[in-house]
Amino acid sequence: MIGKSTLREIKASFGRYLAILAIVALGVSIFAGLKSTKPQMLVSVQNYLEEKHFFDYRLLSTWGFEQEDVEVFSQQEGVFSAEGAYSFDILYEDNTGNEYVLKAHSLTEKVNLLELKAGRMPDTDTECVVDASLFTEEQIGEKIVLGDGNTLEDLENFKYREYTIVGLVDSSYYIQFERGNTSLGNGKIAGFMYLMESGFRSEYYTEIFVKFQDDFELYSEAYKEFLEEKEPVWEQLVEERGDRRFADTLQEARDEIADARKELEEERADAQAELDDAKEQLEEAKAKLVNARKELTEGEQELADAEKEIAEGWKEIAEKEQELVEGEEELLKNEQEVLTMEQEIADGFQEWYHNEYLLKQNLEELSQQESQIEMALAAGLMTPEYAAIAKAQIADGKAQINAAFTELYTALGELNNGKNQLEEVKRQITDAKAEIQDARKQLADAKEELRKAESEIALSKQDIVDGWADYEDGVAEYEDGVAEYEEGLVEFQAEIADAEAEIADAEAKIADLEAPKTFVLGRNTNVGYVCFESDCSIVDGIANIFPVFFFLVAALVCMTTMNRMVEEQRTQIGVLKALGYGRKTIMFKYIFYSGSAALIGSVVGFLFGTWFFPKVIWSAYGIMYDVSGLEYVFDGWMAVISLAASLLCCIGTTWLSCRYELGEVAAQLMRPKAPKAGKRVLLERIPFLWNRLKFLHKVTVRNIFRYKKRFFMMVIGISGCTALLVTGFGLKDSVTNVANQQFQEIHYYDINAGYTEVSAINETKELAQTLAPFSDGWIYAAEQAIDLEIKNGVKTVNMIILQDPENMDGFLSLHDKAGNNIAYPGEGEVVICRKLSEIYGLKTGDMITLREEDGTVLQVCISGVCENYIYSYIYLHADTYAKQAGVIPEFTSVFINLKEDADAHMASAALMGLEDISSVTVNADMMDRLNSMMGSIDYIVLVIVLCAAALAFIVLYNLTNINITERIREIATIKVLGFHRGETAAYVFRENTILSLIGAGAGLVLGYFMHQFVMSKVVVDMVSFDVYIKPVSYIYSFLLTLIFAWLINRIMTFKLERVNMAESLKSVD
Amino acid sequence: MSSFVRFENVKKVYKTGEVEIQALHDVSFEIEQGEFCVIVGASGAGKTTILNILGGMDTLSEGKVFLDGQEVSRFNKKRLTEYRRHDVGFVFQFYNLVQNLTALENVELAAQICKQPLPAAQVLQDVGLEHRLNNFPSQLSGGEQQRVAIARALAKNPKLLLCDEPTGALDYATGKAVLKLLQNMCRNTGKTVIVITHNQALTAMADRIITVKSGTVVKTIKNEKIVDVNDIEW
Repeated sequence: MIGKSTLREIKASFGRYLAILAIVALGVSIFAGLKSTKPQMLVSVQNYLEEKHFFDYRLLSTWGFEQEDVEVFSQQEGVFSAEGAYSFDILYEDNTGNEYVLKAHSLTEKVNLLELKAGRMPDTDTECVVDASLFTEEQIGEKIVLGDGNTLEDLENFKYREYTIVGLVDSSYYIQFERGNTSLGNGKIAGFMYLMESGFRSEYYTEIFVKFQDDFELYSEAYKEFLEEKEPVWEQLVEERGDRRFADTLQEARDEIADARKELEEERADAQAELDDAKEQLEEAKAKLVNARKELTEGEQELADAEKEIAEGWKEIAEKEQELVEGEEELLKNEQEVLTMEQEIADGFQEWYHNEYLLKQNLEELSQQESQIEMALAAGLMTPEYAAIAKAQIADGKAQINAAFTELYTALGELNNGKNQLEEVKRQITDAKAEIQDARKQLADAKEELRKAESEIALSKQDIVDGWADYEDGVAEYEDGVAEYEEGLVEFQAEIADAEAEIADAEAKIADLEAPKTFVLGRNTNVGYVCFESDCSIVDGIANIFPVFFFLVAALVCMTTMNRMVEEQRTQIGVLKALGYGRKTIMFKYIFYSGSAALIGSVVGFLFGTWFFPKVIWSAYGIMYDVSGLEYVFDGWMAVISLAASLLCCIGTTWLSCRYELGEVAAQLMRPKAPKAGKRVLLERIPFLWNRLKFLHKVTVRNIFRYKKRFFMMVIGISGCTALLVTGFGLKDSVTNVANQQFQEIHYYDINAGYTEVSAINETKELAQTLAPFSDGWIYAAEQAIDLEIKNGVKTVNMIILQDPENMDGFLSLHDKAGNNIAYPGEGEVVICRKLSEIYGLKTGDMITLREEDGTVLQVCISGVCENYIYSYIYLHADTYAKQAGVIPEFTSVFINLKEDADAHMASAALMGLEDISSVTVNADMMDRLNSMMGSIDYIVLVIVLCAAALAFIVLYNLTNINITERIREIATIKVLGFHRGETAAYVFRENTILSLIGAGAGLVLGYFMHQFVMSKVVVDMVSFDVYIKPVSYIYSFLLTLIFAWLINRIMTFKLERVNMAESLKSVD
Repeated sequence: MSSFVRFENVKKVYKTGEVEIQALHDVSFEIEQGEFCVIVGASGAGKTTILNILGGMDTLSEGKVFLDGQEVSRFNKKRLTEYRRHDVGFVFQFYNLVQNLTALENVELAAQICKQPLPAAQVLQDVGLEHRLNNFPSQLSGGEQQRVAIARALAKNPKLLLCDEPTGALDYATGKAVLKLLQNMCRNTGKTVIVITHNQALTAMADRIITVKSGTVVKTIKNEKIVDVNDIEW
């Protein structure tokens, strides 16, 4: 009968029963759900990885492997499969001109299998399957063109320049979205592609994947032990193979060098012979030229002599001519003299005759005059003395004339002599004339001869000029020849030197060659595999706090409910007791009541929780992980624990509630329990406040403090609800804020453009032109991935070096958590991000070591720890890098700020149009992408909101329900007193409202700490969360809680309305 | 002239599932203004149903109920609330005081929603509780509690005072005192008072006696020979 009564009881108070059931179900579902999420995720991934034969070992050698190695490895004990594979990074340019880096893998047959998502697997070596998370189904059929941005060296690894996409795949090698880093392009691998092995053109395998026959539980100790056991053997084996390859290669290289040396010697001999010939020819040519020069000089001398002779000839001739002319002149003078003499002679003769005549005359006269004197003496006219004088004179005259006559006759003789002499002279002149005539003739002949000689000389002169020209040509030719020879010689020497240097280099290299470094890498080097473990742990972390909370509330709900129930049924208990039922039997009724609710609740909750939570969380993780569906795992222990906990919780509280009442005697029980007395509360002691309250409010205040248990249940429940909401929203804030904070508080700049190479940056004018309409400033920076050495290994971080740190304002902000600016690191300093500091315990003043892929090592001192949310950044000064790495950093990144109204995508497109820009990232896009990725958190937030709502509903419903049933008389009475519906509701629910307010207020504080706790459990590699709750989230949480409370009140109003006023008339029972 | 309270062929049927229970049938009676009326009947006779209907706490199935010329039976829920609020005062067998409110506050609780309430302290003084104003119900004796309840009903200044077994939970002497109080109230203020009781003895003090039996009024007597409460024995 007790059983029947209990069943009826359940039916009658179904709401109450349901409340217990629901809170238990909620608690269990959250506990079991969250707890089983990790195992379910693990099992799912494990099954997936087993199915895909996820590798156990990835063998690497700096020298690569050969087929022979693969065979050796696959023959090892316990090996399921060992397969050689290629993987090369390569740049790929998509339709929009953006360059991405793809990791090209070769398809493997038995390890790291792919999951075909669309299309088909490649049939020929020109086909490929690609990353389903980077490509879309529409792109099947398109071609992957290996861009021109690739170096030839990189392209040489591939057989073709383009591959046709035939399918989309997920790869077990990449279960997580992270694709890794590369030295190419922007340093990030955007996705993968798989080619057939024959699609590559590589001489050696870059890696070998090994899968053992045994499968172990993921991340299990057993697996670790298994590998630990294998490791030394394999490390040695791989090293041996490497050494063998080393020895072979060394021998080959030595042979090659010997060949090269031989060839060089031969070539050297040949070249030397050729050069010698050339030299000989040149010598001959030189001798010839010397002869020619001598001959020409001699010729010139001869000519000069001849010319001199001719000149002398001419001079002689001129002299002779002068002589001739002088002779002629003399002749002419002589002739003139002759003529003059002839005239003189003729004149002489004439004079002579004249003188003769005169003399004869004078003699006559004198004779006359004598006659006349004789006569005159005679005549006596004259004195004879006189006459004698006169006669003397005449006689004198006569004597003189006679003297003259003699003279005259001598003169005549002289004249005749002159005449003869003249004749002689005349004859001599004629002779001379003839002679001169002859001489003239001779001279003309000589002149003719000279002229002939002269023309001959002119000809010879021309010959000599020609000869010189020829000679000069010859000399030039010779000099050319010499130059050529010398050039040839230099070239020869250089070539030889080069060749020798090359050989020397090769020898040095061989000498320097170290045995290949080999690596045996386990799964813990696979990003996806590693991240998955930590990501799984997040859920587990949350699972540790939430359920405790719900169980606490469940216990409270159960306790208050059972308390009330026992109180209500005092009389009944009394009656049963009076009828003789034992204490245990009666207790059983209540234990059965709460226990059955707990049982059903925990079963329902378990089933629902283990199905729902993993599913929702998995779908959230699905955004990051490409793994197939979730496997349901039934965990018996979990079920037992859940059930035990909930039963303990309910039965325990029931027992506590019943214990007291059942202790009383029947009679006592059948008497109505005195209603709990009204009591003054503390507030009344403050009349100032108390007197201001309407007494309806006073009732509320008194009621609130009247039932402490309920007060706590309510406050805990409601604050729990609010805290959950705060945590949920805070989770979202902290997570979504990451992208916003990163791009709005740290990396302010709007666009990050990457140049293909440093040299291209000189085209700043072009950049300025392109950006003019969009941007109001940009700075250059070097960005690259670098390994930070940490305690046991390395952590790849992103290094940023600004070209002009002075201009960083507005582009980058380095600040600490409190928002204080951090100075840009100086030389030898580094600023690291908070996450690195927190995870690896690095602090300001510590020295850290950075290692580049090529082995360059930088040692720097931490000068500050800056806020950062996405990826891990470190900042360096250019001088630090220049000094320690020995090269100037490559400032190939441009951080661009846009004008306020500029369209980022227009700017991006314009930038992509520039030839030398290889990549353009719009931060707003990044932000959107990250935000949408973080959108997965929305699911979790939704789940939390739902849980919170459920919690609030159950607690509020239960409490209100208790409140109403307990105060049913009071409610009926005030109804009878004529309280309106609203007034009645207000009268009853004011308490709820106030408690909700208190609870919500407390929940805000609780939520803050819960959020802190949960965030401390959430560690994701890529991002560092800003543990931050937006003020609006507090407001939302508060309001939502009040809305839940209001909804409950609305629902309970119906119940209130059903309270029959006739209840007021009933007696207290 | 119509009576202050009038029941005309009132029928009340309760329906619980398939079962119909006829609580009242053919109930007709009249009460004049200012009368002290006792409705008497055995347990289950239907007197409480009458009270419920008259008090606006329940509706009827058939018939008409008038109070002071208003047809209460036609009131809707809201109007009924107004009716309870302004026109009727209740005194319950178990006082139904709000435990959390002091005597004064309990009276104020009712008074504050009325149009023309009487001063609460004054009313309490009238019922002889001026020294107990600030006591909680649990600190009052049963009689005192019932007096608070009466004061609460009176403070509303209702047209009609309905008392459901007002002495039911009280001892003899206290019960008498309470009845005396009610009678005096009736006499002094001219309020119509209806007392519902199973106690036949109380009929002696009433102006009008309405006897209920098996869901119907069997007898309505106008008492010519009113006995003082103090002289009634039971």
